Amino acid sequence: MLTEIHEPVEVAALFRKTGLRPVWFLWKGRKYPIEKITYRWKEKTGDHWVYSFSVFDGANTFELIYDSKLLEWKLGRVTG
Amino acid sequence: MMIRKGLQPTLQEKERGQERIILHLDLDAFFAQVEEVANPLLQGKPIFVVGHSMTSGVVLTANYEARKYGVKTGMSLRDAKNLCPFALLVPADCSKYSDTAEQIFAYLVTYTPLVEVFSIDEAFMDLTDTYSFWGTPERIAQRVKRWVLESFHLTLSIGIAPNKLLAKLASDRNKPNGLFRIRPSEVDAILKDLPVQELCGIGERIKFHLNQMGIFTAGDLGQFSETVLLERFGIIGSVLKRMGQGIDHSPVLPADHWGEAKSMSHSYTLPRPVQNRETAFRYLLWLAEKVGRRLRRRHYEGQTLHTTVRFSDFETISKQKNLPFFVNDGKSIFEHAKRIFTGIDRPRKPIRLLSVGVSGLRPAGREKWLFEEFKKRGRLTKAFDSINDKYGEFTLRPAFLAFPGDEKIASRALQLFGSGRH
Repeated sequence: MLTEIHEPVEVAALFRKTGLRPVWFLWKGRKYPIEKITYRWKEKTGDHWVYSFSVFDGANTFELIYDSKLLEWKLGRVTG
Repeated sequence: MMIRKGLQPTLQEKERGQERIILHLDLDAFFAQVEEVANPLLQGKPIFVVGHSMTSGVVLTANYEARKYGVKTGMSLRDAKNLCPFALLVPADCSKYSDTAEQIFAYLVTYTPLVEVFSIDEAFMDLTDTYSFWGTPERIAQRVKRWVLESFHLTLSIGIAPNKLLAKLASDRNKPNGLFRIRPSEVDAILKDLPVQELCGIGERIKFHLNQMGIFTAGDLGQFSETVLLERFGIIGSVLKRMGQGIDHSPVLPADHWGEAKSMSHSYTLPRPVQNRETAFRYLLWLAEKVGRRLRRRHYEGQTLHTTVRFSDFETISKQKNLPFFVNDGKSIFEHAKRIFTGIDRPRKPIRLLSVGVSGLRPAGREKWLFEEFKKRGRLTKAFDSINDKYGEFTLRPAFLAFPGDEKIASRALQLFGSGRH
């Protein structure tokens, strides 16, 4: 079942030459380790890029969104 | 050098352009495949990718699991659910698909500069002058397939043929994850019994007329009298005849060869049929703003306004209007689109689709406005554009678009907006 969330979340991420890689995130006081990044894409919003990741924690799929201008992470939706 | 008569290409083979090497690439059930890769929980299950309403509208793409039940792209969600009631519904995410497609199409330029994007999930490549660098067209097709699989875990089907018409036909032959080549010597045999509607460009309406004339296969079409086809279909009669013979001279045109645009339009299938006309006006304004933005971004302005309305019973009415001046701002486009809409509206019928377009284009900025009101509007539009360029589309927008769901405020905003004030 898909649930739209769109809430700010705290994310631990690696910024490497090969790209941005979220490692875990905190949502509603719980830490979710990211087992696999299943898909990544980007979208231009105004003069900057917004990066999106589909991530899997072993049980659910989450969509994490990173705004490169606001330096903010959001949890877009959850499918479980 | 003597060439045996039997080996000489026939006139028809020459016309088919057997010297050209054209590839057609088609990402298999693209939207559904992307969603399956993005979400491992969907894999192996039948899924429909649908619009955001999730309850009505059409199936944008069904994956191959769902297609086994007879579900097809474009089928109404209600019909699709009847065929496959346990399918999972996934809302479409266009940014995901367009970013993926852009990366794939950019990669194709590795092999030839002649890449034509045909749709979000299809492209043509003309490899005539470049394939020999990599050996054979098949080897290039395999490399592309491997790269797409390694980069995105997606499969695609590729057709290789002497022209675009046949390449598209070839890519359909072996789906999914197929590779099929049609060589000039095989064309007649392939077309002979091919149902005529399988030729790209022959839709239900033309198929109906062709069937009435006793034409059921591409072979029938290719052998039919051109004179009779011209009488029935007008100028496209000749094109149809040539399609039936597998002849297509159209070049593979990269975007920078498209030349001047002739028109720009946006259409939108509403999430659910809409009875309320103010809600319909809001969609109309949104479309007008999108068309205006696109015109300005490409430095065009246009003189002919088009509006199309499709009602819930699928009655579709289009009308156009020539203006005595050129426009490219959302407000002017909306004002005229609204007038056209009012003239063709069936007030009792709910609306299913709206479309706004502008044609009769020319490069923008030729006219200098004499009246302060028009100068002001131009300055205001520029200010809107610079803010939206920086912060994203519709960050700044007319008030009428700012209150979705609130009819009272929207109604007030419409009064203001309609009276010429932002």
